[in-house]
Amino acid sequence: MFILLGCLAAAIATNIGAIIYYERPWSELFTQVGFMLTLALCLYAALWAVRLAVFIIVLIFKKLF
Amino acid sequence: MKETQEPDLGLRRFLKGLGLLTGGAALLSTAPWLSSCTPGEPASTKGRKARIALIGCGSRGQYHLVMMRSIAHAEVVALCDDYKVNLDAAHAMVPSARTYTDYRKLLEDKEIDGVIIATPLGLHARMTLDAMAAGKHVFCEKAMALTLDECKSVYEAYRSSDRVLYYCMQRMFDEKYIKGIQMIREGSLGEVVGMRCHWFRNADWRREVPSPELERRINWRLYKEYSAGLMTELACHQIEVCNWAIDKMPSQICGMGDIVYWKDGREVYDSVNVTYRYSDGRKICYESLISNKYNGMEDQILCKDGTVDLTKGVFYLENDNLNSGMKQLLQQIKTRTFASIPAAGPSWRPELQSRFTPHPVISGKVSVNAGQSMVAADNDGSDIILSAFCDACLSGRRAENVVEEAYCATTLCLLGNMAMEEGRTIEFPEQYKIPYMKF
Ligand SMILES: NC(=O)c1ccc[n+]([C@@H]2O[C@H](COP(=O)([O-])OP(=O)(O)OC[C@H]3O[C@@H](n4cnc5c(N)ncnc54)[C@H](O)[C@@H]3O)[C@@H](O)[C@H]2O)c1
Repeated sequence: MFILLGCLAAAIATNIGAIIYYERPWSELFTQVGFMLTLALCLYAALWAVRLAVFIIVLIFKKLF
Repeated sequence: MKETQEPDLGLRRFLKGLGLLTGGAALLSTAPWLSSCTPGEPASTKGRKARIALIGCGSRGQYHLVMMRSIAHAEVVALCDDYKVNLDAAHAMVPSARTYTDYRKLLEDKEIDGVIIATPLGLHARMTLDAMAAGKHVFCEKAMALTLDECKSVYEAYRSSDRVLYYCMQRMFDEKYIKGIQMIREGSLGEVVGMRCHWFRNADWRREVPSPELERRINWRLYKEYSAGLMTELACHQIEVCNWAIDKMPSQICGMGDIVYWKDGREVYDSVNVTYRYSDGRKICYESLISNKYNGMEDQILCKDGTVDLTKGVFYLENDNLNSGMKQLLQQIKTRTFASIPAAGPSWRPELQSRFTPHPVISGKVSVNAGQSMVAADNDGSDIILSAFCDACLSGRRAENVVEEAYCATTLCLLGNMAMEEGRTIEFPEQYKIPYMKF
């Protein structure tokens, strides 16, 4: 849950950064909600894959040693 | 002229949409021909109907008859065609109209204010000259004429007459074109650096012929006696748009034309590639092929900071700052990723066409002409230009630059054919230059 919230926060931060950098209207905080949610889910999925990989490696190490 | 109380809603709606009714004076420098139909001036026309005759009751003529039904300030009073089948079909659409088989007899009719000429190209000049000489206002289909000399004669006759003359170059009355060109002329997309127009179809252009002796009459488009082929039938509209966009005329023309696929006895090319070069080096790259429709029809004006596709009424930005911040960020990441491909040294990266976001030139529903119909497209300006002509028949006001634009476009199309046939680069001939042209 905390990880998902963290991903959402990162997506919102990216959107805010993009709004400032590309000088876009602040209304994009709302109009780009779809984009932000997708980004948050992608981040979450990527983190999940990393966590899974770490878990498997740790498991293998434990088995071996 | 008959009495009527109804206002011309179509024309008013169009002018209102453009903002002309609320004083959109800047638009008039882009499309000066609109000044002749801005309400206010033709107060004299209120409550009257222009009496219009149609010469040439074929497919385009009948399309005009349908359009005329919604033009409240005009009525069709006479029809002329020397092919009975088409005359009867048109008469069935307007039973109250008088019928003629000889257009000269029709021109003697004093109860006619203006004529629509929708006959094959080879007849346009003669009929237009005769109609103006008979005191009629004229709305002639594009292109202006079959030869350069005929174009010059019509232009000179127009200059020395007081009659109204319109050519059905409907893009000049199409809102998305007018607004798109205004945008280009204002420099919103940077300098115009080139133009790219094409018209692709996969159809042989043939019509069914009831008996062989009618072949050349019915399939007139395929024979040089009546037609100048793809250049005057299709390119004419598009070349006009290019000149209109940059307010200039190309001075050199070269190209190649062939009969690639439809080797059925036709005399005109079914494949043309023509380049028009302006004195400053900018070019129109024109292509038309009627044995493949993949690319459809497009009128692209290429500017330093963006491209306008006038056919679709959209523009694309080179660096799209109209996209959301997130989208721009993603695009930048994508571009950087491609840019870092190390093959063949640092200067190489795949120049695949990027995906650009289309932005509408005008808001609301825009009708797009796919270019596949031989007769017409919906809401492409044909109804508006016809309505403007009927309005002019009542007010007597000649539309600024309509004839000049048609003259420029037609001469360029005919010179395109000459360049292809003679296989050489042609300089625009001095004797066909008119003061309106800026090279
Ligand atoms: N502006 C556009 O987008 C557009 C679209 C289609 C056609 N056109 C133009 O419209 C014109 C007509 O095209 P169309 O497809 O209707 O051709 P069409 O062959 O269907 O019609 C031409 C008509 O003219 C008649 N005609 C020929 N000689 C005549 C004469 N001496 N007197 C009276 N009538 C005569 C024919 O019998 C026929 O009925 C062409 O110039 C074409 O380029 C313009």
